[in-house]
Amino acid sequence: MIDGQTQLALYRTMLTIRMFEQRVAREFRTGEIPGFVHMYIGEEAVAAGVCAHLDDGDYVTSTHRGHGHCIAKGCDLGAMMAEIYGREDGLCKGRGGSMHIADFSRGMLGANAIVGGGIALATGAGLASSVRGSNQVAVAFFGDGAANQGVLHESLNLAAIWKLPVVYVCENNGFAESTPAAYATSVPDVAGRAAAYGIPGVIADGADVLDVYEAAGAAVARARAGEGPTLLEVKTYRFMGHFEGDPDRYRDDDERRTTREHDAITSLRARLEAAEDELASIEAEIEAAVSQAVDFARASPFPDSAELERYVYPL
Amino acid sequence: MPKLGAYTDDVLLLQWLVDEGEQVDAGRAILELETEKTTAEVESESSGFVHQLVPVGEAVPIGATVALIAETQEEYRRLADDAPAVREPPPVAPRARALLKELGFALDDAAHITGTGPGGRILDRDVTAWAAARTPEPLGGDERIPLRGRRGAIAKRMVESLQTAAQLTSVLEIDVTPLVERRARSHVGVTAIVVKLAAAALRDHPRLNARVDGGAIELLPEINVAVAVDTEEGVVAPVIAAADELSIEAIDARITELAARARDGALTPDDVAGGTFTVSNGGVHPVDITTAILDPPQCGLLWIGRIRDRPVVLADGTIAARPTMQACLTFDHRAIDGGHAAAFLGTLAALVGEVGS
Amino acid sequence: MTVAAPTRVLSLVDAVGEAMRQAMEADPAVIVLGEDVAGGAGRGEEKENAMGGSFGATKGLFPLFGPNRVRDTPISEAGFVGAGVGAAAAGLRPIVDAMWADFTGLAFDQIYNQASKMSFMFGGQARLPLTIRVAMGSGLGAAAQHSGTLYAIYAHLPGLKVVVPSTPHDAKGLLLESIFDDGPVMFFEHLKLYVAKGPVPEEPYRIPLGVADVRRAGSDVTIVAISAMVDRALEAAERLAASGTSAEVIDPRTVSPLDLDTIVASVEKTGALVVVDESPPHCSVASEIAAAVSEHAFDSLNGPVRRVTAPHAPVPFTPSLENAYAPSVQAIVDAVGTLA
Repeated sequence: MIDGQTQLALYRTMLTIRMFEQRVAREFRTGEIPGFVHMYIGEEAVAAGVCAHLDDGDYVTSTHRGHGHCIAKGCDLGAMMAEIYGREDGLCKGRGGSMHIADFSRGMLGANAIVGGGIALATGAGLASSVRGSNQVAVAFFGDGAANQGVLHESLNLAAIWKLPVVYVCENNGFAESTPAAYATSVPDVAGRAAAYGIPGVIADGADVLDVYEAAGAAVARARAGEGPTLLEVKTYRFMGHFEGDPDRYRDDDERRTTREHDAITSLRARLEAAEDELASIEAEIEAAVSQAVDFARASPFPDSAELERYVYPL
Repeated sequence: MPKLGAYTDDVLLLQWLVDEGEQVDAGRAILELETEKTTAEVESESSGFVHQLVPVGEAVPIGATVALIAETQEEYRRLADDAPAVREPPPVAPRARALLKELGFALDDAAHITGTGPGGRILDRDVTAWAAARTPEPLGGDERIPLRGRRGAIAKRMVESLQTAAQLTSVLEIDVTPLVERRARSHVGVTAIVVKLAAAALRDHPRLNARVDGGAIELLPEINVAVAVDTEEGVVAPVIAAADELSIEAIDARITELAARARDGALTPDDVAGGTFTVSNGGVHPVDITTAILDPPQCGLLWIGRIRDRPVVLADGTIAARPTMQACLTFDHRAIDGGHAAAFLGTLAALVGEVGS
Repeated sequence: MTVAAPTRVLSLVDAVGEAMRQAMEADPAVIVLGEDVAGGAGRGEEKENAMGGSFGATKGLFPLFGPNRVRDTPISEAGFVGAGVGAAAAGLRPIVDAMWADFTGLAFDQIYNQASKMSFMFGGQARLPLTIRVAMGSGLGAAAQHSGTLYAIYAHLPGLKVVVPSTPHDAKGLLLESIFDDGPVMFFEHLKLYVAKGPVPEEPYRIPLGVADVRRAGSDVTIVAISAMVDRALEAAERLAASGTSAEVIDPRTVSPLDLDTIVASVEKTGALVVVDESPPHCSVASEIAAAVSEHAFDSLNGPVRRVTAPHAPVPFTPSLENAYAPSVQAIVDAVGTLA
């Protein structure tokens, strides 16, 4: 049984992600945000449920759809927004943008624009923990598309033989851009592949954050106890297109409607034992924080082109 | 380009003796070349139509091809069309180019340099060798005084003067006993006395106080005598304006002042402007006669040699030792004839005779 | 009175091994991973440390530091090179032995999209003190997929440093510097130089990256040579000296960063440059040096920069072809001759 405080915290995290992403999507349409953004809307339960078990000393690596992991890991909304806007006060000084958003001070080792690009990195972070003998844990988030990348298989094998403290979280939203997992993946459940590496494979329901929370808790505990890696597959729901602006022609309206019915936020809200006005005040707080983040981003300057070669090498 | 027995690596193509495309018989002289020692004609060894490859004035290495003789008109036309009439200049390496510039030469000078690099490329060592060969080694050392500034200006002016005026020098030996007496009595310099006397003489001989300008002889109203002064940077000639109106003492004071300023490098442009005639006292050195060069646009210059005792035949036929001086008058024959010059010198000698009193 | 201790002689492979040992002694964050770096993994004490690396460079590390810090990996270059990147990002100082330079192809995304770009993309947050060691070069009959040089490809990537030592002394000092550099470094060891011997001081020392070594002073031509080509260039210089040409031989030691200043100063003196590179010519390091010198020292050149390289071909197997692959001493001499 998950206590009320924890549930409220999970709700808060998910809602922050939802409202942040909705605001980004809205601002993106004005043309002020450069490049591409990939919305985490509908998948909030995964980041929230997993990262609730992590602290600043633990590591996560992410995907191109990384805002949710960043927020769940505790990153500052203003610095995140400024990065998305490409400004000097962004987490990455505007050098990375949405797809490379990172905060090493909180163990967020970066969103990654290479599908599967974060998997070996998280494995390495787990290796560092193991060598040091600390109880830090590393989490690799990746999608159903990355489930077929070779580097996932190399990493699962390596983590298995060395019993590395890594949780491999597959966010299976059923689509790798336009290609259904049903087509691209040789088995219906990615978690089933864990057996090939002799490690536990677990499935959780991304429409129920408490289910994710429990499954993730077990996997993280295993890792911290030195029992090795877990492959956790969360069946989740991508409400928007692959990227903002994606016409999403590979899905029809019925499908999109059905998808959006699996909303972990509304379903948790209905179950929460908190008072309405408390929830309302949480919502208002988040709204204000997100607005503040946008203002902060807009006020921050663009980096100077005289600094094109800055940060290429660590100082 | 044949070797003519003279040991030069390069030979100058002086002139083509036939036209481009002209038909020649074997044995006909087709070009003239020049070596350091001689010029010579070169004959064509075959008959046909001449296609020139090298322009006149170019230095060509011995053995280089300077012309082609085409057997037929057709072949000639092909040659003339295909090949450029003039040989492509050899490439100049960047380092050689930079060195040329550094040594003060123009890039065009590369046309005179033979390249020893691949494909005849001109390298830095070729530039060095060529530059060294141009300037002969000064005897006894490496000292070179550049012709710049005052020195350069003097050099330029002297050459210009000689090239413009038809100048020559007449010399009269003058018994300067009275002049020497006057010098001692008045405590004035020889130059001041001569300036005064020359200025006075110029009143009677205005042709010598003139200039040649725009096809005419312009007689000048004022008599402004320039006095040559030696300085470290070379000779300068500050001007004593209206010298004929000044006393000898005044002139002497003026000369002293101007000379001092000249040696300090403190002469102003006004000090050296407006001279109509020059007096130069070369006698401060042990020299008797000099054919001095006019200072353009002046038509006359009086150069006086050293005063020394010489044997002189007196009126009564006896020989005595007298202080004498050679008065050397350089004049521009465009304006002045020998007679004018001689007359001036005669007047000057007469005035010398009266100056003692 | 102090007497200087005689410097002892080590082979390049042993010098590399010594550098790693001294690094691991100095800093517990230094770990080694790669295929067969110990050998006989998990087979019990007698059979473990059976290899010490394909060429023996890591021999002796396992007995000293144990399986926690000296880890044999499965054959999964993307996986273990990527793990090296991640471990570096998480605070270790890993040395990854990728065995042959050609094998880095399997891990190219980890090196290129991840390691080389992380410091920059994350706005300076990432310290990535990763060293990747590889063996390269023709001459052992190892054929096309085990002989490539490849350093040009990595020199092209901003964010990486690329080291190409030619002597045991330089190898040790440069490797220690690479390990303690806070960014990703690719360290290229030439197969033919592993057995080369030279004086190597016993104590740890570092040679800064980006500093070339003038191996032989000269005045008529500058010869820049990379890795195993340095010895050939020195031999060529001897032959040239006998015929009256004085050659200056420069070993850049690192191709990224590249010590252009030393090369330019030399060309300003000599006016001629030959670059010797055991790689195919297109977009090679020789090309980079030629272009950079043309830009910075154009007016010092008496002629074009000459590149002496391998042909535009992979490394062949059979000796008659392989022996003609890398630039020969005569080819270097001839190249100098074209500039005369």
